[in-house]
Amino acid sequence: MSHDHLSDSLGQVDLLPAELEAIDERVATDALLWERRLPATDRLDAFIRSLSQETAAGPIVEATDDALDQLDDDTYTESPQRSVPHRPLQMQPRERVSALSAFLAGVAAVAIVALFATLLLSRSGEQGFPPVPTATPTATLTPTATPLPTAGTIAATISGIGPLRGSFPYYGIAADDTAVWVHNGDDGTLLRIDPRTNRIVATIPVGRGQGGVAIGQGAVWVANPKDGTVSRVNPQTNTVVATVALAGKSATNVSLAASPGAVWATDNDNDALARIDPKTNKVIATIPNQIGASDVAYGASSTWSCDRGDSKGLTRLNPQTNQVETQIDVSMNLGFTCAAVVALTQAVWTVDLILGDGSTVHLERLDPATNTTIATISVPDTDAYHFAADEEGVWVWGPDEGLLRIDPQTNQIVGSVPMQGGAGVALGAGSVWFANATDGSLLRITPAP
Amino acid sequence: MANPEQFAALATQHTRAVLRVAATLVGQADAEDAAQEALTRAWQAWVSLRDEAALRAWLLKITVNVCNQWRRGGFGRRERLTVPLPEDGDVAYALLDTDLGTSDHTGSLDLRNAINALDAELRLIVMLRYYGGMDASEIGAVLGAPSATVRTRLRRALTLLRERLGVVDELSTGKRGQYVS
Repeated sequence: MSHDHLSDSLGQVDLLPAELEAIDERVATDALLWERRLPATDRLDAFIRSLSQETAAGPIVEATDDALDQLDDDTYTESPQRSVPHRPLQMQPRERVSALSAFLAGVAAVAIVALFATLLLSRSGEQGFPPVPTATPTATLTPTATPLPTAGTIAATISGIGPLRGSFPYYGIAADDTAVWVHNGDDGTLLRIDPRTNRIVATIPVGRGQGGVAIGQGAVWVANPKDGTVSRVNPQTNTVVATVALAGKSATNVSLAASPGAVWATDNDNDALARIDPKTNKVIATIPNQIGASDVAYGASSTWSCDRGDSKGLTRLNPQTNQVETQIDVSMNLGFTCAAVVALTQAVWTVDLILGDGSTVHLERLDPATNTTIATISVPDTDAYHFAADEEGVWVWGPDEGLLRIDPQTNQIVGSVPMQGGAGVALGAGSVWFANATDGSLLRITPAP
Repeated sequence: MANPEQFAALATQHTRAVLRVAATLVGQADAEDAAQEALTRAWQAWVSLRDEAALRAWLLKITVNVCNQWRRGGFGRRERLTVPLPEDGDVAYALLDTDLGTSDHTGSLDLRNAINALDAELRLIVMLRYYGGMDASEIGAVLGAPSATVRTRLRRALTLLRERLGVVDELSTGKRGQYVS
């Protein structure tokens, strides 16, 4: 592996701040030196070929826990037994194990929820507090052994949005009936796609860094984290008409949301939320204490911000007064934090994860009328930031399952679309738009009826 | 379902990746043996692989699991690591090989010691990312964490390394921030 390749695949890591580029380079260089001392793969290649020449028949031995640990329920399906004569290890039927695990997990989930709810009710009664709204989370275990139905079909592939470097790519995407906007932060361009022709009709230079896009106030807003700015684009002329200065350059993604009379930008580095006045194109207010602010959305007449502070999840703001109205605990007392949010009129969806234990990522649906959870849906191993929702469906992408579709009527996973290289998901013009950072393509998906 | 007849053709495309990860976790001396074990496990489970497109991530996950078991002595013998096991209890995360050989820069020793001084999870992310050549999704699958969490921790790890090596540079060169742009 050449050093240049190492730099591309390892060095350009998710908007590394400038001060980390040198140490990144140093570790990558040392890894290159280290790798050169590895032996050639000739013997292992020969070993692989010898394995494949073995017949399927072989001795059967008892499975051990360690052996079962080698396998991953998310990756495997039920299969015939296979063994290798000189290294005999036999797996137990996965279906039985999976079913038992699912049952036990389901029992555990119900028990935990019941215990939690009981404690809340008990405490509220003892201390004379007003009754706590009773959430009714629905822990849905995804049966990975059964293939999911197809959730949609690819209607068009639009090449030319440009690949993104690094292993953590992110395209900001926003779509409506008239245009799909894709932000390539590596190239510093905003691309406009005409949904009638599925062609790129404009390429607009903006700032640097992978950041979000929002449509509102008669403009398209693009975050440029590496520049510490937000570009305002006039969709009539496809030109940048203003550049809004944020608090500073950001090492992390900046998420945007437009609300009546305001545009909101997360400021993860300063644990804050910035309010941009579209009349003056300046930041006119900063909402502090948004610890680790990772996403912002507008809906149900409120601004919603994901943070990891004392609120343990979701902050609901009054966009007229910039005051915090409610802080909603999405942790379920299990350590979940809010990573991404979409707010609709009748529902607010969050993707919640446990830091350091992300296998239990889940979607949470809240009722904005009561600020209570009405459903939780397990979406293990998904990427919290490639997520979109409207009244017709909720879509979240993960490298294993691809694009999952959740039916908001039933709050169940109802299908998937196998997809690789996910780096952005958006809804608009009756379609799902999915960006692939590997080949720099945008796929238009028509949801299944 | 994967076609058994394709195992050799497909798996050999990832031999180098498997070997790198194995060498990262058990040391270069044991890497081939551990890789062989991992490939054997992969062959045993080959027909149950659902998505051939996920082959690389699948192989690497098996490799990491085998190496963890290997380092815990799960194959009937103690590992021949040239470095001591960390004090991480049952988790027993790996330490980076500090047997540099004669051709490496001496600065590598400072760097690898700094990496080994990171707390266990940050260290593992750095090792798998740079030395193992795994991407964030693959590391996330191993750790049970989303890729976003992996990248956040990687930045944290790099920040710590920069700080710690900055001190080393200051002591050795008389000026701080040799690696700070």
